[in-house]
Amino acid sequence: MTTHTTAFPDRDSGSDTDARTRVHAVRQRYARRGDRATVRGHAYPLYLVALFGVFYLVPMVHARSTSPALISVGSLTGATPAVCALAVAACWGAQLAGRFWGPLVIQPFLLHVFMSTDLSPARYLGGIARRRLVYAGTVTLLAACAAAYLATDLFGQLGTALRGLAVMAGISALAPVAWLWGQVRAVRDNLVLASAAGAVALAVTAVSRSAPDGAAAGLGLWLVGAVLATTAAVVGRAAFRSIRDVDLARLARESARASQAQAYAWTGTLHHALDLYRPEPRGLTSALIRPDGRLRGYLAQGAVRALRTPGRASAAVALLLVGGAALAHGVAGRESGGVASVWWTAGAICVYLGSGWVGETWRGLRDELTMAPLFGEWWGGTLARALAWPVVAVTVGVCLGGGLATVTRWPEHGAPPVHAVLLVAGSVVLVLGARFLREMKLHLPLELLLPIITPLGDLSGLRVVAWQFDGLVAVVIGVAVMNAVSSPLVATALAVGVAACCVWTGLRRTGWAHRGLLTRLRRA
Amino acid sequence: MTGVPVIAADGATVTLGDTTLLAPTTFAVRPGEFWCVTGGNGSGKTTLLRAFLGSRRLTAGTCSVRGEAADLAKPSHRRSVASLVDTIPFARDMTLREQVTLVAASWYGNAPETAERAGQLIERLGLSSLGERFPHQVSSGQLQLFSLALTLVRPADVVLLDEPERHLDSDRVGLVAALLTERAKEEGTAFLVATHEAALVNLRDGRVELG
Repeated sequence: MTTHTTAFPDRDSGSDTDARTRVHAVRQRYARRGDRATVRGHAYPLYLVALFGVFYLVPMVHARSTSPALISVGSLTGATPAVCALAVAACWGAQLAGRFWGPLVIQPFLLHVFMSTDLSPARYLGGIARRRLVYAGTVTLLAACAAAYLATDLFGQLGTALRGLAVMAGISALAPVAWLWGQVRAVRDNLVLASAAGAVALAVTAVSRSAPDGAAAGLGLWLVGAVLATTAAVVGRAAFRSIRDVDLARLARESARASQAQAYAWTGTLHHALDLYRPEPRGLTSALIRPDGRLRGYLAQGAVRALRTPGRASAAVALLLVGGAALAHGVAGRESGGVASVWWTAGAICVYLGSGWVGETWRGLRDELTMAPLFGEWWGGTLARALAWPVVAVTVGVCLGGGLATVTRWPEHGAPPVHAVLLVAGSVVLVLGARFLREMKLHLPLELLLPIITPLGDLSGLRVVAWQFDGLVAVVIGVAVMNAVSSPLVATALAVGVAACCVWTGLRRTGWAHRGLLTRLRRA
Repeated sequence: MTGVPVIAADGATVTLGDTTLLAPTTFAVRPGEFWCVTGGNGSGKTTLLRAFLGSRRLTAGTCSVRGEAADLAKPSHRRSVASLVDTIPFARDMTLREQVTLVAASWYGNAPETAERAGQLIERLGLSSLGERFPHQVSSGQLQLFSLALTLVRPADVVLLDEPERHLDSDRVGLVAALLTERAKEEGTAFLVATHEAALVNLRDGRVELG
């Protein structure tokens, strides 16, 4: 055989015009597909935004304008380190988000069509990335301004307002490009950017502190704003250049996973969507069984299984330590009011997140309670088998974090130690109960879809949202209730009561409440 | 038969720890040739196809396409290789005809060739009457034909197929076999097909036996 006439298009596929034509042709045809968004489809989000604005944002803004700010920024003298920390957190968070769901994620079929061609990825992904980065920057800027206005008196004076605005604009420029960087660059490059961001933040803090007091207040934030803008320009340029070399196979996997997760989220089962982002275990494949063939104990089993996903386990440890420290700080300053309750709530949320990432045994418990019996009767029964590790890990993590905070004398307000210990213990019990409630979640109950008719329309969506985040809602409400009660003993008893309600509700979700619950749990 | 090999494997090997996923394999396929990869389950057929696709890294040896190492990141590689190795993520809200046409448009733009090639292939695979249906409205065998249509509607120097006979009855296997061999002879496209189907193996110009 000597004649080979593969029917490639006659035009030069590398030319700009041809590539543009092809991308346009695909986009045009894809836009005409069957169930593209309708006018009513576009109107619904607008309706939700209007509801949010009229019934939440406007009253909040009104309340803020007629009352003193929660946090007074004063002359901004000491604000530079906090702002640097915020900028670094935004950069790191954006990079991390990009690793899981970056701005280049598109519909899997459309990506499949494009990546089956010889077109450069920059040709069909560049425009999408630019558009999404502009949206993300705008939303970040608006959210930051709104939060600053509601929580602080930053916009009280023109001088502080301008400097604050410059910093927020800088963060809003850096965060979106860091998001893109997180997706298109390798892990090593991301570590380099993260380290560089931390180092620059430290340097800026040092420079602003070395300046005279008056100058520091004036120059510090301008310097932060300028550094952020410069960094955003440099990182953005490099990130956009990297689009043409993006790992298409990985992007296809990310897009497929995102599409599936989106379907779960839209159908009200966010926990199934999050399950798709669980890391895959690796390593320590022979660590669970002793040389003599016997299984290791429950604690060792939990620890080994957690270490098989080292990234998640590390994140859990960090969250438990930080959460423990924040809890101790918040609880100690409880009686002086102010931001102590914010620390307390933030600490409880950190511990809640850490308790879920610390291992897979919660899921094992849910499966054991909801599926056909698999395990035989054994020492300690179901609860000991599944809960020994997470309960011990969370308790130890919080104790270490709280101990660290105490040793470094962070809890400045000095509540009696017994009270503080009681409240921290109550918070931990509350968090574990909330985690149990969340982990026993199965499918969306149909009754939640029944409409709640009000003059404002159907508000059943709010109930579904509360169900999606029920564990978090339980933690926030529980801490608020504890904070509102003056006696630590009563507050702790209340926390234990809320945790017991969570556990009971969680067990009912699995159907065990109807089937001789205590008898089944007691088997040993 | 003359010509430089379109694809060639030279000691291509994939191992994972102590497990060998693909034993050292060497062969070359020239333009217009129809080669089959055969072997039992787990012998490395799909791994070999993925290595040529550029989505699976070799631990030893090479897999080359037109003399260059298989690399999904290279536009020239994506231009040369069409594949049906992993499941194609269908658009659930587009009809079969729309999706095939969309793939054609990604190569031919809005030129008349787009609709012409899509129409011809849909007819050839017996999907004309199903063209206005959505993916969930057709059977597994018809979905397999649709996947083949999405793969074959684009131009390519080499086509990698993993068990194209999946879910097809014997008539449809014959239909597909005729289409593949026709494209090989008339357009000079090289085929590397992992299969357990005797009807396809019988048509081969060459065979890689694994395991």
